[in-house]
Amino acid sequence: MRLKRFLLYVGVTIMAFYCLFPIYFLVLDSIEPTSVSYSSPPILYPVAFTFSNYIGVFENIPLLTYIKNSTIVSLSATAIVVLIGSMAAFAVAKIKFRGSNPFMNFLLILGFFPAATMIFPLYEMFANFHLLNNYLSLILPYTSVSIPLTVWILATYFEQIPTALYEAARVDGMSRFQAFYKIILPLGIPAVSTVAILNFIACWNEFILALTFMTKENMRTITVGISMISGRFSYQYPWGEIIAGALLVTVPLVIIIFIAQEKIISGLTAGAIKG
Amino acid sequence: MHRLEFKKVYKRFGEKVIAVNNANFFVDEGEFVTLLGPSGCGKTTTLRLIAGLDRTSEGEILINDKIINALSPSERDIAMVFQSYALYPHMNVFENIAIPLQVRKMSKSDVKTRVGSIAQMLGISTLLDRKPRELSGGQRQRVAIGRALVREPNLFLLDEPLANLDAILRHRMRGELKALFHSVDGTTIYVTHDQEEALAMSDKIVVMNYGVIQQIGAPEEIYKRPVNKFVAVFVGNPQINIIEAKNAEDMSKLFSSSKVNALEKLTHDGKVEIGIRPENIVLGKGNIFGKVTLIEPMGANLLVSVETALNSEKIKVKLFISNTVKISEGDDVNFSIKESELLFFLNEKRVDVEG
Repeated sequence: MRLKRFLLYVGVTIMAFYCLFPIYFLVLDSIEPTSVSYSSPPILYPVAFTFSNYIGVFENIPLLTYIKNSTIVSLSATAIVVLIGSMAAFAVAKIKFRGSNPFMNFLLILGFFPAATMIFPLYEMFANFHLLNNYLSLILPYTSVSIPLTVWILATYFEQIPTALYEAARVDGMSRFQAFYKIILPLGIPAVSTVAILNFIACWNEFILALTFMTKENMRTITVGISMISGRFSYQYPWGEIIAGALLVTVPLVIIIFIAQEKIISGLTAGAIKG
Repeated sequence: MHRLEFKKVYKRFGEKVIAVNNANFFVDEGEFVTLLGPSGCGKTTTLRLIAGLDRTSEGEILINDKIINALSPSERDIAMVFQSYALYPHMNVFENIAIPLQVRKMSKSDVKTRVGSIAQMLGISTLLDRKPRELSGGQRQRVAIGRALVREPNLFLLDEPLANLDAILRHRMRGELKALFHSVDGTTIYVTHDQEEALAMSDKIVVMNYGVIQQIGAPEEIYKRPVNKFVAVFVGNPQINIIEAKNAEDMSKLFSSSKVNALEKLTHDGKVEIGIRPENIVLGKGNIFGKVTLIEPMGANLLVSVETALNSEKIKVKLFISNTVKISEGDDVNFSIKESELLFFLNEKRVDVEG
């Protein structure tokens, strides 16, 4: 027994090290002068300390503008996906309309198309509609790519909410829509919030579409923006600043998501299901 | 309160399943009507048709002489208690009871008084802040009933509301429910597979089997004058004794010759099934002889199984005697049958026999 426990801890420690070491290394590199982080063999503990990389980020790129753009795009796309996705999932799971099965299969097929194949047609279209460098050029594709899977996940979850609850709501005098937002949606919050967070992260991190459709400096999103950090000369690649930038936009996001998840799930699932 | 009528209603699921087959019945104002039958007989489907949760395949459902087929559940103004209670898990007891009023835009203060008085009536005033998962089965059931009673709907529908309670609570709630729905003068339709519940609570019973209504009548009528063997066997605990008489000789062992003659005229092959309720067999006098094979004490009474010979074949009947009688398994006994209470079945249907 003791040995088992010991081995378990050893295993967990190795896994934790494997996952966390790169992050540690990032933090280390971001606070050291470039000369130190380039040393070979690499020094794995802090030897010098500087804020210059962080200051450099703000001097080099309009970081706050990028954050603003990413926030607008990600929040809008997530909101639309959750709104449309949850209503569609509700219809499939509880209303059982004619053709709901073909509809779900159709959605699955949509999900198979690789997003990369859309880039050029979309570019043409957005160019024609004068939507390049417009938030919509990212919000629209992000939403349509995410909705199919979102509907699948939420429909599966909603199906597990007893149908009697929906029926009781209807008999109690609620319209379909009232039954959705008063009964099914609150009970589906754990799934809805998970889907929302995953969507938000996916939009926040998306690179290729953002790079292609947002060509003006002031419309760039954060992922593209950081990749654009450049040194004084073309051969110089300022790793320290890039890393500092990545940390600056990632760490707050992770913290916010952790807090949000905790709040949402603990607050709203108290007393849900198990009736 | 309000009336309900079913006119030639059919409900089909797919090609083969007919869950409700030509249902015709009428529920009068303030009546407590029970849909009774074994599981799968179509009673719950019938209830769902009334609520609008399922749509009829054919026929008309009327409330107060108005056809409601096309109305959605929320437009029918019907209150329903589900077998699973279907309490909203994320709302507390107050909100659960209040929600039918809130969606009807009743003012906050009115909702509060109304929910308060219903909670008091059901004895759950102290539970209003709790969530459903913090309640016992009996308490949940009261909340479900409260949610139905809180408004004044056209109809109350109850789908096996006692099925999930333990035996003691079930018996207590039976009486309470009957009194409750009578006191609000509600037209109530109650679904159960428990014939005792149906007999104890109903003004009228609709017995169903395989989607077909077998009989509609007052509990006493259903019990004493079942239209066919299915109803006779399904209603009554312990079950009615069914004895098959193959010819006049068999019959004459059981009852008087005038009845035998009358029966012979009705049958073609001399075969008839005879139904005898256990309470209509009198032990200790009479000229039918047999042996006690089993004694089941049922409190005040003993249920005694007696084996007797009907010519060449052995048959068994069950009968009641008081628990003060000294009797043991293996005893030789004699008994007689109350002839006036006998039921006769030809091809599963009950026939009236003179004489």
